[in-house]
Amino acid sequence: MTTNDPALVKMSPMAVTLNDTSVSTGIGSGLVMKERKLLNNPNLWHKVIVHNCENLDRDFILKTILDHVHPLDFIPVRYTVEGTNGTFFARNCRMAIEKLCRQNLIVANPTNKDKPFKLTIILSYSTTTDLIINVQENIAAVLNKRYTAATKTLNLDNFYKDTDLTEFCTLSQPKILYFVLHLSRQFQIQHLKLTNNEINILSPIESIWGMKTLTTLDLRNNMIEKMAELNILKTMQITELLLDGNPLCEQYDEYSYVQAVKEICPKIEKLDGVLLSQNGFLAFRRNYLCKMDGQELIDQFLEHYFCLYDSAHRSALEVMYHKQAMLSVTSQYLPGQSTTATASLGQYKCVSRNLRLLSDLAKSEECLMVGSSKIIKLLTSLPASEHDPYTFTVDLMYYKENTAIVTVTGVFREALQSLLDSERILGFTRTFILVSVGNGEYNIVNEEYHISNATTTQQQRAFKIVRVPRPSHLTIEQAHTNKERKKMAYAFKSITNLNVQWSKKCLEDCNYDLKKALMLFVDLYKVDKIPLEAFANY
Amino acid sequence: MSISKSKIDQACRVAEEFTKLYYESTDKRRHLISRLYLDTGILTWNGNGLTGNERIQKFYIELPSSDHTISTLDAQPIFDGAVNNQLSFLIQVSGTVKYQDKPPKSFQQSFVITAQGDKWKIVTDCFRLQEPLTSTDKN
Repeated sequence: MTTNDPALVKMSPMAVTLNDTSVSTGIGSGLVMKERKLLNNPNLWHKVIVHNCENLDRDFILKTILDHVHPLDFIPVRYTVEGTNGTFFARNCRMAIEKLCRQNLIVANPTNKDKPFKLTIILSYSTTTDLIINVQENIAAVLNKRYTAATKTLNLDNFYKDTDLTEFCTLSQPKILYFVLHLSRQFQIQHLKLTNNEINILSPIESIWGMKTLTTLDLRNNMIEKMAELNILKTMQITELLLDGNPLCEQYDEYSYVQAVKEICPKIEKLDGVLLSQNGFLAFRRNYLCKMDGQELIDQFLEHYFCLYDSAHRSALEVMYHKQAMLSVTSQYLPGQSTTATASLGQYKCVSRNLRLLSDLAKSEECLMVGSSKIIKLLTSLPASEHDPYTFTVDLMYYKENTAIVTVTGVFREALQSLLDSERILGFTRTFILVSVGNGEYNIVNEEYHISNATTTQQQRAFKIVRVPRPSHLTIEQAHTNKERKKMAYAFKSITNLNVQWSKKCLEDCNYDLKKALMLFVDLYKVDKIPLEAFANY
Repeated sequence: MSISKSKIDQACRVAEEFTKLYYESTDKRRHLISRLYLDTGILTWNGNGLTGNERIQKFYIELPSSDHTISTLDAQPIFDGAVNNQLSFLIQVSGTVKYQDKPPKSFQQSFVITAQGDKWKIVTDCFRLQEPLTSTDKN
């Protein structure tokens, strides 16, 4: 008699019962060996009884048992409550049953360690001819429901919670995932969503290798632990991958993550929503850090540098340069730029160097500024500026021991010489080589500065983000009242990094004349008269 | 300790020779270009970092064909204290590059090169187009 209702099935006379007594008397493993024939026969249904689990949710019990035998195949079907027990059938799961036997048929209860689950397994309870359990139809119906033809999307998010599923069907079980993906081949799928399924093993994706229409795969919020799992995707046509929310992501920093994914899946163009490449070119990335821990140093350095450079006291930059530092400038018109007043780079050209034009190497020293005072002389001769940090790209190329190498590009606007001038926006590239001078401070030892016209797009995008204006007390030149003096002391402190006492001392010695005080500071610094303790972060 | 004129001259000479070799390799003989980099060399191309000869070579193989025109060249000897007294130069280049049949685009590139035996090798190579090629910028 064939049926699909387990309640109607009679236990076969060939059935062998395994319970805690039979397995724990040590004959257990011997018993299992003897019954290998039964376990190896894929057409035999085995019945599993979970004792004393009334009131507990089916999904919770089955999930606990599956987690316990993971990654071994174990597909429970036709879960039924019989009295105080939960029962289900499984087949073709020798290794899982062996594992359960080795642990005396006891499965720990994650929510109550004093009440573990005790199992009884009846091998060969029935055969597949007598008990027909066909989950295919049900799963196919659910897949149909979850498929959107208009967007060619199959959404298998949180699959096992689907209320239309009759069986406990979790995609974290490799065999179930394989089966479900196999069934999904009937659909034209471009976008496959497998989010929130606790998937740890991706090898079942093999069943959709031939799915040529698939371009987007969403694997967010699963349990993928190793990047190597993605190897299965290598030969596929997937161009967009979403991997966020998997444990493997935490093993990488931003840069090595992308590199690792690209290495395994070179065809991927978009990862976690970010474009990696387009039309054969790598996508633009704003910043690069050879080491994550260099970020703080570089942020501080650039903020400090450009704050001073753009201020009315550009000469204060002198303390950021090493005494024997070098600076050279190059400049270039963009192709097709006319030489009207707004495009003119004249002021930069006259201090520029270009080794391509110098046939006489003797001239090479002329435009190379050696020594911080010569450098400051050149920099202060250039027009006043305002940089737009939102246009900056930063490449920290080297950061080791006491040296850092960083290249910054971006735009700046020149201060208007007169009201009749139109605004000029120029592009720049600066490479700085920094060395540590102790106390977390770095000095510039080499700098190459390149100026060119800004492109049309650069001009359009510049200065669109309104910054909080810098405190206006930076422009106070003389302080008379206590309030003004306090403001100036604060400004002085933020420009020089000196602590409160030393800032006050410099200012007092110069009668609160900001310009004089800054010059005094620079002079003292140059002759090493400012001890390390004078600085705020000592 | 002043920087000697000969070091400055050497920087200029080496820069000219090296960049000539580099751009010729990039434009015409890419298959050997990873030899110009130290084993630990780093290349960044518009913010994408590539480390190690294998990755760098792979990048150049996949990059569409290029044709560079140099407009400005600058070079300095690097401060001894920064490079443990190992002779190294900082080079900055600007110019335009044509990829396949696309119109020329402005670029700036800066190299740090160091002597390894009788050859100059790239320690760091930072390439930036003045304007990104790709249409979406999600940073």
